[in-house]
Amino acid sequence: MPVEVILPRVDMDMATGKIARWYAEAGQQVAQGEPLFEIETDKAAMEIEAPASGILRDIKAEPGIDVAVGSTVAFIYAADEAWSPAAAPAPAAAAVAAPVLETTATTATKTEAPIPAAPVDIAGKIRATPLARKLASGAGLDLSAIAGTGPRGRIVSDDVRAAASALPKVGAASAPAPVPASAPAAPAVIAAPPVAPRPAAQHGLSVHRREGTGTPVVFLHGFGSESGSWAGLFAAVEPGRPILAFDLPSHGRSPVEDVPSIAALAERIADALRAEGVDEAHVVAHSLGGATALALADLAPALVRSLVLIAPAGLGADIDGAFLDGFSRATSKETVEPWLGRLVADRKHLSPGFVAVTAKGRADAERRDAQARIARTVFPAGTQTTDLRGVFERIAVPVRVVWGVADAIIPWKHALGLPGRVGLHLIPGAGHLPQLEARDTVAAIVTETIRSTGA
Amino acid sequence: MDAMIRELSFAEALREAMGHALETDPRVFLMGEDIGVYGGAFQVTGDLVHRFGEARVIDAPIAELGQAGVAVGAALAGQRPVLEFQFSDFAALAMEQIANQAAKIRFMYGGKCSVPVVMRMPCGSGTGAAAQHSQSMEAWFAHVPGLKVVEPSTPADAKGLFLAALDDPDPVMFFEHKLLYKTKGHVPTEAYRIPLGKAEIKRKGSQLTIVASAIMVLKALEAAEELAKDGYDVEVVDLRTLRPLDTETIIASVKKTSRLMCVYEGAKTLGIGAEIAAMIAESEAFDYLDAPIRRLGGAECPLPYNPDLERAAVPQVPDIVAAARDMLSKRV
Repeated sequence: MPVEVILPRVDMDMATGKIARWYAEAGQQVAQGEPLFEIETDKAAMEIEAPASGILRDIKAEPGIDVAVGSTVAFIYAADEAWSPAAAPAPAAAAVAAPVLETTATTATKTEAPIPAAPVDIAGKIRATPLARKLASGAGLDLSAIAGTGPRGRIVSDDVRAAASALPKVGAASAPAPVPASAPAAPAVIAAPPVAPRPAAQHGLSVHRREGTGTPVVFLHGFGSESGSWAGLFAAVEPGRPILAFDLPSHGRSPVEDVPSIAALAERIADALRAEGVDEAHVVAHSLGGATALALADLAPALVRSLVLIAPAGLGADIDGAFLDGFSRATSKETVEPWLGRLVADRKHLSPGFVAVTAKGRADAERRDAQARIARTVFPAGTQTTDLRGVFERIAVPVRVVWGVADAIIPWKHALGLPGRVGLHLIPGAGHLPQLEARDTVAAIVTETIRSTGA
Repeated sequence: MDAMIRELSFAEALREAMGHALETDPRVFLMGEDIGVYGGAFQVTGDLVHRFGEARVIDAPIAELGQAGVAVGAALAGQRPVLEFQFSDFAALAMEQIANQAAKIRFMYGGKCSVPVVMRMPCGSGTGAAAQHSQSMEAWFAHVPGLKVVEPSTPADAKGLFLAALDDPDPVMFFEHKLLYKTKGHVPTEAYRIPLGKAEIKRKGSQLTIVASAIMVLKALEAAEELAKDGYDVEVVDLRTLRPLDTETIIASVKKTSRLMCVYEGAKTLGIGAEIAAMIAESEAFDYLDAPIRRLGGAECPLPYNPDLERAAVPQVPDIVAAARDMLSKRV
């Protein structure tokens, strides 16, 4: 009789488990006591040894598919034992809590995400980075109960943070914790890395995403810029909170589209947020993005939970038309750099890399022309024709306006005369890019604004 | 011209620093092959011979060991010599004077004298100058106790570090990457000094620390901008001085970002990145590492003459971007 290979219970409250990978293929010789497959539950991962020596046959559980504890996942035949693919034995009655999933469905449902492997290597050592170890010990978490998402199952700091955030909060009813509930949440040392941008099919705009839970933070960049310009501020958003940084139409990696007005831009973003399943977001926005955010708050008040507006357009008539015109036409390092210089109070903030990459980004003539058209439409003849000052009277959420007092593109004095409820931060020594020139200050303002809402 | 927006090339900034030194300190003189009438192989000394005469801007015969001996002797006797090796590769010929004399004299004489010499070292690849004129030999010299090794990345740093090197009582190996000579930047008009042994964070970031010097700082900054398009937030630390190394700044940065990449042009094995990686592994920053340390160094071969192979033999922007992406997306 072939020996059944059973999916074992590897922790107390486990009903199903996934096989992360098989160490042998069907038809291969396996030896009793050697690792046969890797099992993964929502809390742990470990290697399971072969229960007998012989030839592995009839693998019934493909990697990545949930299988009930006690299910038969394969058979091991003795070397001289007859076998035919059609005549696989029926599994012996086991304490099967759920039917074994059909393996034929596996190829269709496989995700592209790497399957976390076991953090325990052959020698029984747990693979974890120094930071992960430090965080786990500080939070009183047992590393062996954490699935690693790094290479070869290495536990990285994010895995520990994820495990720590699954702990019940004091006074909150939540899922059972993997460790004693007395453990404090792990300290946040670094922001979770963002995932690669992927255009969202539903709305067509390119968006940088950081997955997470809770009210997301939406970033809207300024004219001629792109979502990547916010990278330095992502760390201001606490780990675990989602981030969506959009490329405006005709910018970054979003498709080239004509933008008839700031209101139309706001509608585009509102539609995109709905397509993303976002019903409420904190919005951090700069310049043209700032005007878009204001229009968005007017158009869809429920969508906006708080607003941080950095040197926003839409509050006065003046804007540096020469900059809009010159930058729109600039294509090379030499032509881009003088205009970039106008954006900052001190050119030390213009690294050669920033200039080079900006210039590279302006190589696409179609995109450049589209941006020039946006400038001519929204800011005709170097004039801001859209007045959004009235919006401040109509919105009730926390609003902070941040402005560099050396802003040469849009004068900071546009921030004067707003309702008293609006917070105004004037940043000395900064130009039109305080998020670059006074990054830590702006990051603190963003953090405080989000925190003040409790959302 | 408004001092606030004055731009100089790296070569001009160095010439200005040398001119200032010659003007204000009678002990200073320059020496090197073709630095006088010809203005230097890379036109760094330029017109200084016309301004200060052949007694203070000396065209030296092709004899590196002799030049170095004269410079070391003059420094011992109270002068402030600046010796330019036409290519830093030629300093190999003067290794006895540099590593066995200049570096050791202050120790061996119990501190009764010192050797305040600055040796200018045009270095690096990218000019099609082939294997004997393209090396990055900083680590050779940084391995010798008693020498200081400086390697600026911008015109402003070049001027400030050069004047600080001239003030220093010990021999300073002043590396100038040849591809930087034409790069431009803002340089203050006054005679300022940038202290040796102080790194500078050239770009703030929170997810990865790239440590580099000279041309690699510019490449790292460009890579950081590329990575920012994907939402990655990279910090770039410019070492500026390789010996003494500013360990404090590097440790603080790695504690903040939890990831370290060292990018350098010299051969990867036993290069400056190896020292920094080991230093971090020994430091309090170890507990903060969330990924293996990565070194991107030059290929383990003499630098090729063929321009494509030459480019391939040293880290370029796309290499830095790819390696950083691997680190930041947990592929390594």
